Amino acid sequence: MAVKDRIKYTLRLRLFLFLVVLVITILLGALIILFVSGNITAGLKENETFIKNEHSRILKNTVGFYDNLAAEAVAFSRSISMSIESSLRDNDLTVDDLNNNPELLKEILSDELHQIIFYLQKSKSSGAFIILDATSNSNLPDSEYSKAGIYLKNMEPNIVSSSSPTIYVLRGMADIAYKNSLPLHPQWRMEFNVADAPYYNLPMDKANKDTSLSNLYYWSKAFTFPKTNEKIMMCSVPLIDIEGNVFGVCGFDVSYMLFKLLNMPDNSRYERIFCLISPVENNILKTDGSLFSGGYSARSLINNNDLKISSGKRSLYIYENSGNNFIGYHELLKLYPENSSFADNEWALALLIPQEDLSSVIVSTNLKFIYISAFLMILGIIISYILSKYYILPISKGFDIIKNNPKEKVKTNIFEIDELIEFLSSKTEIEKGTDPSSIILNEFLKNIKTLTPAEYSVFSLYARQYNAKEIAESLCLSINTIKTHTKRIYSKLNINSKEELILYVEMLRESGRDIK
Amino acid sequence: MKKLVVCILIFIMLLTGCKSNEPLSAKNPVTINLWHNYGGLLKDTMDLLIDEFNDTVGREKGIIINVTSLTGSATIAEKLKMAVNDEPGAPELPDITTLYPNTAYMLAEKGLLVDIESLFSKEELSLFIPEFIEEGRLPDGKIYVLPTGKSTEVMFLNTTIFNKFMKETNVSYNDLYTFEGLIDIAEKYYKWTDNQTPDIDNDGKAFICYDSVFNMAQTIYKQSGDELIADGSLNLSSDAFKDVWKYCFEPAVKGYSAIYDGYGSDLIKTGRVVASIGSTAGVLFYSDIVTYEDNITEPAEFLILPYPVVDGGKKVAIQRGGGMCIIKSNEAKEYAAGIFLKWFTAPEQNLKFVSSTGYVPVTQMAVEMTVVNGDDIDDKIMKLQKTTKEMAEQYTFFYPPVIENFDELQENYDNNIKAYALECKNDYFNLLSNMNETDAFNTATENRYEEFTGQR
Repeated sequence: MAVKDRIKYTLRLRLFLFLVVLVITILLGALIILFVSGNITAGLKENETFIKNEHSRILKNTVGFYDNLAAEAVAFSRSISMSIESSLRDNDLTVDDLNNNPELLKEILSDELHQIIFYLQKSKSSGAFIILDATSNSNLPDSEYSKAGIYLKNMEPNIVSSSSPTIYVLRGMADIAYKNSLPLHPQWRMEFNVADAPYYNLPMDKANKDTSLSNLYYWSKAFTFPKTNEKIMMCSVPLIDIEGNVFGVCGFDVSYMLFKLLNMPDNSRYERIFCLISPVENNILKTDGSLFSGGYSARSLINNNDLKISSGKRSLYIYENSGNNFIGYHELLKLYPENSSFADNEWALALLIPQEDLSSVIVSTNLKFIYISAFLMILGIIISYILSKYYILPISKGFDIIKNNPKEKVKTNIFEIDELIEFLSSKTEIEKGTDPSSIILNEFLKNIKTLTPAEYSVFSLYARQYNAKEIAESLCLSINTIKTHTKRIYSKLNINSKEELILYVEMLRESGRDIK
Repeated sequence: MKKLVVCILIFIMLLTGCKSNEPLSAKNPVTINLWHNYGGLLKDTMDLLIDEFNDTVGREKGIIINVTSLTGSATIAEKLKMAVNDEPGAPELPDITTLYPNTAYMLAEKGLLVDIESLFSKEELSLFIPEFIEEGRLPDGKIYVLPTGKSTEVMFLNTTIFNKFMKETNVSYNDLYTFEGLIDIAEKYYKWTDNQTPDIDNDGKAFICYDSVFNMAQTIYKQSGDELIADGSLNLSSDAFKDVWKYCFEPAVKGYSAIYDGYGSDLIKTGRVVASIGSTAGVLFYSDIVTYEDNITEPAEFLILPYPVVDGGKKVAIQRGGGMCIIKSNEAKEYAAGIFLKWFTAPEQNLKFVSSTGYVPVTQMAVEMTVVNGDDIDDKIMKLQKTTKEMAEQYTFFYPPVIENFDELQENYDNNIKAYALECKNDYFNLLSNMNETDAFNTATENRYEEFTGQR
């Protein structure tokens, strides 16, 4: 028991601790290598890569769509300008003649309807419009801001073909809608109110004969078109006749829903990730003029507050918003050619995540890492415990063998331990041999082996306390023969009497040794 | 050693997370794509409700509701058909969509819909008005359409114009409670407007427009105690169809009612008609102004009247408004969709929804909580709620049968009767140049009834 305790608390414990230290050292070493090699970055690098890749995907998509829409708007303007100019010329009229002439306006606009529908579907935009610098009734109050035109909304620009009506008339003469079986939009009005309409006034102001239409198209900030419920961005191009007279604008819109469906960010990692196309002024994203896209409503996150850009960790940016801060990435969008009249207008496409969400993902990533490290460490400790136990097992087994059967030559199949057992056994025998009584008994035993078989038979019967006569009868020998054997036995065993012989035998039995 | 094993097991459980039966996790939210037809002014209410859900229950349970289509119910039905048939350019099916039971029938037949009873307990379903729930039960006995807001049909009357007309003629609002009175008023209105331009003959204006002549026919049949649809086809040999002809076809030929493919609210916006019979859900589509051809506008006040009744008929009106279906996807999404629908139809949310739209609440508790007065409720909606309460007390409601070819029957009937009426109307007005009204009408419509009903 004392030996066992000593193994448990000393050798085995030492081995166990040694292995634990080894495990921790290996684990720490591995961690240091991973950190140094940049394979572990506390989640920052992965998140940065994800955000930039996702931003790059959406940016490519957005640039392609907006460029295409601007090109279509320029083509649309050329086509409509020529068509209206031709209609007016055929009737020997000018744009001024359209004022206060609802019938003529109806005729001119009706003629353009199919072209508007064609460009609306071709551009895959959510709305197409033409606005003429004319009104059907200039006697009405504020008529200088009332402009005739047509504005068609495609509620499903993503559907290739549809038998149910998806095109609604948002602005325009109701008769044109009725005659062409186009439903009126719920927020229909007959004419446009351009009192506060940059999409109309700015291209009209900048338009002139010498500037290419490609340099005159204008992207409005996102706004809610009057009396409607959805934010849109408008791309408008002036309508200019061959003599350079500007008589209106035309263009397309990008609705909130269309932008959202075209630019949906992957929200598998961050549930509240969103992207926005936004005007940039003084390093601030003006969210009021932005369109958003994301599975989660950005409106409730932003609360209509602007986002101030500042540099953040690595190549990401921090966007400060009163109450909520965001982390993400943005790049300036090139919505206009260099010589455009509106080239100064800066736009950006940004991909943002609430800061708390990013922190939460990083903490969660790191927690996972800590859990895995802790798991590996505990696994290492358990393995160390088991290994130390089994490693020591042959030693304790060997001790048991030596203790219980010192003479037994049991093998543990572990070379060093077998050597030790053998060494200890022989040492035990030597130690046993130094006992005087043991030496005498050993001598006695040694002498027994010198007896002849006949003598041994007599000896063994003496050992069983037979007398000479009983032995003679038992072995069917004469009493004289027995006496002769007895003399030789006494002589060989160095004893003088039967009583002495029996004493030796008893001593041998007591010491657990066999007389054979 | 045993202690050690237990510790290891606990640690492993902590690492892997204690797996429960809850298929959702706030850390890994599922996105539920939603298509709905609550556009126009209803959109704001839906947006606010969805934002509220995403910020509260959705955030707690890991559900994000994402609207991926907002369009009319007919377009939704068409998109669903395209998606089901995997047509080129078809969009991906959403997880939840608003639809009518007859569209749901098509999806259910393809095994694409989730049985609502698998997500709602009996107790939860018992909170709904039973008739509304039953409407969503399809022929296979399962409930696929969960009511979110129900509607009926009523008459919207522009009283700004009607009052001018009433002052000069011997009519009253009470006449509009019956089809006989309505047609009489429509005739008088046509003549009153015709007389305003004495130099132009026969240029009177239509008084009324019916959003759905098919629903009108179904309702007149029901009021007469008959069924328009029998054995999957139209039962036009019934005497009830004579009433339909009298109240729908004949006034249309004479120009008293409008023949129009769109909604009556479009014609009311321009003063082309004074009244329209349509869904209560369309209440916000009625503009507060009328815009005339010369861009002159005038404010429009509305009176909302119960559905007219045929002479001697029962007070019966159609129950409309579909509901929401859950499209089969995976366990987590279906479960999440169920949670959203439970939240959306709970009395508090349901009331928010109906109080800014023309829908009727779908749970008994929400009906009892309905407020018919309130500062923040639109005036037209308040008037509408009073009328629908009055109808709920006096009328019985029916919902259209769910049959495979329902949409086809409806479309064919609508197109045919309008085409017949338009053709006869053109003939009638041509004949008026050398005939009196009665002769012109008889000539223009000779044998048309028999032709239409297949009796010739």
